Amino acid sequence: MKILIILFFATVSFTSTALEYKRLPSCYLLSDSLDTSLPSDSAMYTFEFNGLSEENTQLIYSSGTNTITYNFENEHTLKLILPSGKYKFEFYISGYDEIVTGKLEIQKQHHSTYRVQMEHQVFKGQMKKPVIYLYPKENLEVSVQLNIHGQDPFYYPEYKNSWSFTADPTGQLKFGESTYNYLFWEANMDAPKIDHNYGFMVEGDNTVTFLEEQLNLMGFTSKEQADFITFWGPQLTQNKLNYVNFIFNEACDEFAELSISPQPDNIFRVSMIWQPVNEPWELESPLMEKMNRNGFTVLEWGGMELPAIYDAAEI
Amino acid sequence: MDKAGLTTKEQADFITYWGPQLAKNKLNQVHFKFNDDCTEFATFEITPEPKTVYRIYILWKPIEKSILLEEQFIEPVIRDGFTVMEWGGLIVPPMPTN
Repeated sequence: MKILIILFFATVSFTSTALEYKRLPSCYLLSDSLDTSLPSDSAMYTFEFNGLSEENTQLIYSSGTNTITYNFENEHTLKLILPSGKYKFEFYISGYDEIVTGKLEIQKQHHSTYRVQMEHQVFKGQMKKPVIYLYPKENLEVSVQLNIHGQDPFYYPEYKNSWSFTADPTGQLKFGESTYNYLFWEANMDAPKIDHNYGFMVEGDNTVTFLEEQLNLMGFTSKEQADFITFWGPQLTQNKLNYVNFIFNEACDEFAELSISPQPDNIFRVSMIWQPVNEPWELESPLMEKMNRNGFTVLEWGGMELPAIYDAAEI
Repeated sequence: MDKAGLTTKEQADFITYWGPQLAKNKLNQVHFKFNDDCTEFATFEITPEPKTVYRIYILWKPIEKSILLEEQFIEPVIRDGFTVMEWGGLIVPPMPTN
């Protein structure tokens, strides 16, 4: 087992290096032309920013020593007239990765237009303890495959392209001589986009009551609730206040696609997305789902903690 | 966990909790505490008194370099009569090296 884990890490580190090289350049030249209307020693840069939305009105840029705050007008474009030469620029827009260009050379009376590709800062979170319970109507040979959209997965029991086992109606999963109550996976991945207008404000001290109530409404058994609450309860209880939201069913495909053969009658998936917050804000009730336990039923639950929110005005 | 005598279900609970945390590090030092040595963390009383109470805690920390350690004896659970099993663990700074 230990050897497997070490080998596994070696593979992952190779893949992640390969991925970095695939990234497109974030700043590249679109056109360069002579413009005799410019003063004889000067040149003009035009930077067209791509990937922004209308709310992005402010740019902070620097070339060398000066750092300047610039407000975009109609377009996400910055025009600069400078003496000809070589310049290195830094661009920063809130919520996006900072861009540092190479040294961009410009000739006298030239007009160079560059495209600057802005990328959203995506928080990498850890999808924690998704566990999968399976309850067939009678003893059944089952195969489960996962397509995880993330990195560094951890599985238990051992996963070799799939999990294959015999499940019984009480939810016991037999892998040869070994019996388990659930399948387990975990991985690092991009945090989902959450609409912070919907969800729940949960006081740390009220965590257990809140979770019991919600999990009951969803249709969890008390054993499944115990697994969920003993895992998440202590983590939420540590904070004075948490924002909590749930993602259900097909929306969980964003984290991992689940294929089960034979096809269950009902699959219920829920991910709890939560983060510590300083102050509450007004929330609308989110749309909650309830599981149907008719026939061959599968339940998966997991969750992700997002970074704390210290200032509700940022929402 | 096999040596300690945990069932596969108990092992799954233990490993799915601690496994991902240890697997994140290249190398970890691991030490187990058993039974009476666990009273420093918590004590409990059970009525009626069980015939067997077994406690196992994993103490661990990530380390940079491999260190020479004698393999620890793993006390096994003896499942005789009314049996209680508790597992837990903590990440610690210093650990016994013998």
